Amino acid sequence: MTHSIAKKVTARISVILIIALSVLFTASYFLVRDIISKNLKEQNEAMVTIYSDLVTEEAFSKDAAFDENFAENILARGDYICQMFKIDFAYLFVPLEEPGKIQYVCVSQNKKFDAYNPNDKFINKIENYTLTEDEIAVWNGEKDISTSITQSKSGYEVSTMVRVQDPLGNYCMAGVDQSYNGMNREIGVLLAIISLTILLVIGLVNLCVYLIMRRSVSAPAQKVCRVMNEFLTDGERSDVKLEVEGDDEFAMISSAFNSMSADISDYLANISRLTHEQEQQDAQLDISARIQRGFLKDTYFEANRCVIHADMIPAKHIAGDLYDYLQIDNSRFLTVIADVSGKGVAASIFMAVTLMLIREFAKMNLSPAEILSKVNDTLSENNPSLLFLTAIVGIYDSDKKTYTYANAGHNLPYILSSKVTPLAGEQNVLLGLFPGEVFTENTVKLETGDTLFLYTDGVNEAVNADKQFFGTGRLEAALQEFITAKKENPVDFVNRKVADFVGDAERHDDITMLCFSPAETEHLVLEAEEPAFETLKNKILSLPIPRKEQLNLCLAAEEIFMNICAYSYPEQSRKGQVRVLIALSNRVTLRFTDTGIPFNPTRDPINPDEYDVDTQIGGLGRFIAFNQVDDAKYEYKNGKNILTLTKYII
Amino acid sequence: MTITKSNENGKITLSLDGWLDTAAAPALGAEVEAIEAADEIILDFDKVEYMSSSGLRQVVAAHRKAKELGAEFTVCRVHNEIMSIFALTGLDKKLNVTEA
Repeated sequence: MTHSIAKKVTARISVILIIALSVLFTASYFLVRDIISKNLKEQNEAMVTIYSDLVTEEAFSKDAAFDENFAENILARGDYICQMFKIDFAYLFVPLEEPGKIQYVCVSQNKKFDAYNPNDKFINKIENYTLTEDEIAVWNGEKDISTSITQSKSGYEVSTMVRVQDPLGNYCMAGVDQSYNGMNREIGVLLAIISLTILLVIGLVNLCVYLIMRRSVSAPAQKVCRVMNEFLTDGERSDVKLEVEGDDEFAMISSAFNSMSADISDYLANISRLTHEQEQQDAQLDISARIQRGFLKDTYFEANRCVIHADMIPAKHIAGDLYDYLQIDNSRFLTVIADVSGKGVAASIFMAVTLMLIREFAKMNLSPAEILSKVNDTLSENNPSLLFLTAIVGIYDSDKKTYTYANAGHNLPYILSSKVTPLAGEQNVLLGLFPGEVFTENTVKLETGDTLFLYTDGVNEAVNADKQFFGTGRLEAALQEFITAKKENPVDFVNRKVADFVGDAERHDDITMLCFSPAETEHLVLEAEEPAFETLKNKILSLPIPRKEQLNLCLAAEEIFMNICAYSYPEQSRKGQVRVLIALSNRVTLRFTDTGIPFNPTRDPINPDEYDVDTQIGGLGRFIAFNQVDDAKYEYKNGKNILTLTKYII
Repeated sequence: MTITKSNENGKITLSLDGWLDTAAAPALGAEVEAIEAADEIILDFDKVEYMSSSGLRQVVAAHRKAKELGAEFTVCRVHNEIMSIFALTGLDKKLNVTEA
């Protein structure tokens, strides 16, 4: 809830004025009363002087004493004075010896006085009256005059006295009394009229203040508010403007608001444009990244007689690293790993070109050294940006069980057997800068059970939050741990180690790894029906591995195969097929592929503790199967259920 | 696989020989189903080298049959490899299984 400034100001002014007025009223009341009583006193003193002069003059002119005759004589003249000067009483008295008693000589009265009684002349009448200190002082001649003012409900009573003397030397007190009834009421009425008038004036002034405030403060403020709200609701509208009127503060605010709103509108428009551009750029980068990812082969591949695991994790959207492999002919298999200097779009283009060149040259039956040499010459010919790359190109010959490789300035790979061995050999110069370079190559023997591990420097140069490198020490330790643990594959294993090491720190370089293991592979295509398992069973039983391992694998294979037969193709009329890959290296890999309904058997296997032998039937098969092998991995890809079981042969 | 059945005064012994796999399981199922009365049913696993979950299911079916007939049920002379499957599935605790 808001309150108008005009109302607030008016209300405050009213309160202040009313308080001021109350103070003023009270002060005026007392001041006026004071002035009036002072005037009364002066007036009464003048009256008593006149009366006493009259008395003294009368006494001395007639040589008379203050006796009854004198009283009769002076009485009528006193009455006259009372009447003329609007005095209530004029009197002469003598204080008696007895305290509190006086004896009047005579008392003149005003005929208009309420209590006037023409017969009551008070001559020689004794009354009760106690003189005030002042009056005693006057009687004793210590003071000339005394005036006492007593307040009554309706006003004042003023008595003024002096001492007079007759020719005989007798003293007498002469006094006049005046009462001023109704004075308080009169003052009150007068002040009330004044106050009401002032209140009326205040009201009018306040009304004016309110109207002026409303016109020149509240209304413009509300307008500014409304326009600002309008702007807030639709900030992109550049036509939301305040009219600039006059040269007051509101004109300044309006002017400032107008330039601010214009700035904000521009700013928003800019942000919107930049966001749009950024979105477009991101979309482009996404597309680039997808295209680049498309260049790369699958992260897992079974070649004729070797098994490949690889992975590339870009630091940013798009990478400068690459891995590749290619079955050149029945016995020869090409592997490539490379790292382009720099990252981003330029590096990715350079990477794509290099990839295409290597694939093309590989198909021309060239040796790894020749491939590198040709790629180097082609890249160096036209490389204005002076990009370059390091690479290892190798060819595995499954007949000879040899790996021949040429290294262009790349990190030395490792051979993983029972231990981790760096693969020695000349590193040569990197690619892309020096045409005509000759590359040397080396050949090593790779036995079944060995694994060749290639990587880019993104692995050993991965940095954690404490600015430490992962380093080749940790890499070799991880690889050794992998050999001992006999779990999954070295690529995933090292990837996890690096990820754990780096934590939340920003990644600076692409991480690429490729490993391949010579393997005996066999592909079976089986009908998804129970009897077909016999073929798979015989193949497993013919593998050159211990009987115990054969039986474990056979059990796993049977459970999985029967599972597929039972559930993958529910429509009886359309029995499908199951493709089974059997690969033997330092492990046995069984890969089941079917095109049936998607089903992940690794999810929610049964809990044997909750298995009720009396009511439940089946459900234990998958659980048994996964317990016979070291690793089970499921993926659904291109409409296929792919389940890979791995058992390490120790 | 071959199944030899012997009956000594209501003590029925089924001696199994070979692989109790998916292919062989129905035969065991049929043999068990055919039992009409027994005081005790014994499955002799001495010559069983291999058992899959379908074989295991028939063992469970035999257990239920015995319960139905009010007979004792024993799986005897189970070799290590097969025992590990009984143990894995927790059935070694739920059924009367004895080692070789």
